[in-house]
Amino acid sequence: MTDMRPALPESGKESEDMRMLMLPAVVVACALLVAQTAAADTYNIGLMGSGSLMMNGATYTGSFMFGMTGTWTMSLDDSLWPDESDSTARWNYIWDNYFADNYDDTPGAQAWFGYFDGLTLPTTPRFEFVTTAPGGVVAGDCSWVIMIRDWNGDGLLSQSEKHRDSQLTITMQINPDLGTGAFENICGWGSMSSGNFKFVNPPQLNYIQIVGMLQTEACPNPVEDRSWGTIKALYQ
Amino acid sequence: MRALTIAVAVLFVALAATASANTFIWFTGVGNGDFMDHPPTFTGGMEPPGDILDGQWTITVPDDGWPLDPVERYAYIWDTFYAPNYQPGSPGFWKGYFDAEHNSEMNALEIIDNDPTSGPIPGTGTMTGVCTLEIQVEDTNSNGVLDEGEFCDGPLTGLVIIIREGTGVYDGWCGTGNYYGSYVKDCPGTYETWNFGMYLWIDDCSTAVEPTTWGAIKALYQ
Repeated sequence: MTDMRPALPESGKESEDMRMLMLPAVVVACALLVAQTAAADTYNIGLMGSGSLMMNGATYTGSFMFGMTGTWTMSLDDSLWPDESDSTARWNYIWDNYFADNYDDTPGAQAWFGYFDGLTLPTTPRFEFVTTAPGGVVAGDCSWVIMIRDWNGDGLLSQSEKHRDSQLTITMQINPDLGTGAFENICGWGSMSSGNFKFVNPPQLNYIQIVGMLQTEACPNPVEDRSWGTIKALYQ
Repeated sequence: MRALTIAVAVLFVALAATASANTFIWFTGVGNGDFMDHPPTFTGGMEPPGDILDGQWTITVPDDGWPLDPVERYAYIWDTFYAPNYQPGSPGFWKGYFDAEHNSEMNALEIIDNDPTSGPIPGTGTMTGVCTLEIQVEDTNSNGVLDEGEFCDGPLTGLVIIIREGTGVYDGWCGTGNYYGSYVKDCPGTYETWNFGMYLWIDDCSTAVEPTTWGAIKALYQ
């Protein structure tokens, strides 16, 4: 097990310098705690919109149903995927590269799983919420997992199974460098899901509803990193 | 989470109406567990709002082959499920996938509904199924190293399949679903509290007409 705790000093070796350093560190920590409480918020959000992985750009966009007002966009890096003009080639590429090898044959629960993240795509998928309330932009990285059920458990994807509502989960990581307004210098993460993701071929828009949560918090102050770095160095 | 679920309830009434072939049912789950337990079992009850207000849920992560020694076990879990899935960014993060592709098999899911007035399917019973589990860990300082305090809270999600092995009012029912929410650890401990909403679209699958029909149709095309 990786021991994440800082090494403790040997008894009697705690220096006066350390004690003097600890005091401002504690003060900084208390200040950060207050600041973090003020900036920490949970946004319970509902999104509606459309998009398609079968169309160039692999982008979904829309507006908010609740939790925020404004617009949202999520896009996957499809730079290596065949053009939408050859939808058969594009579908086959998506299927062969993201789903076909991820088949679970649990009896009664057979399904394919597609992982779309920074490990399977050239770049990590992105999300961006441009809000008028609370006001500002919050954006960052996200990851998608899509489940397509093999309803009759034969290991073959039928047209019905392909076009039926599929399940989607999304996790998000806020990039504070991209935040503006209420989200300036805000860190955090989120999770979302949808029960009506669809592959539509020939390529057409898939109308989708997504619900989720966004947890924001004040970013760690660089002072904190420096202080803790100093403290950790002293203990090593 | 509670505020969310109120709004989600309204939303999903609409969504359920569009999915005419399925019955939509959902609940808010709050519970605990620990990956250091053998096997890791996360369990808890239901809280309002939701269709099921009295019941219990359990997600068991299979741990065949995982070390039992705590130090070795912690290292094995991190090295096997998280460390290989680092994604650089601002900040970077690790993904922990616990499912059949990354573990020996899918996680077991059991839902006990003791609420006789539970939403669209009144009556009590149990639902059985499998689910995936995805946990995200923020690399706050983006140094690619798990530092103290970086694995204390974050998002979790999962995909759900309800198998036709339910009891009571769910006897013969099957379907799919998902869940999303958050985890909080008692850092530096490993005990976790989960808070999530689970959304299920289920149907009476006791008549196996569709598989038979589709099997015949697919055979014609092959």
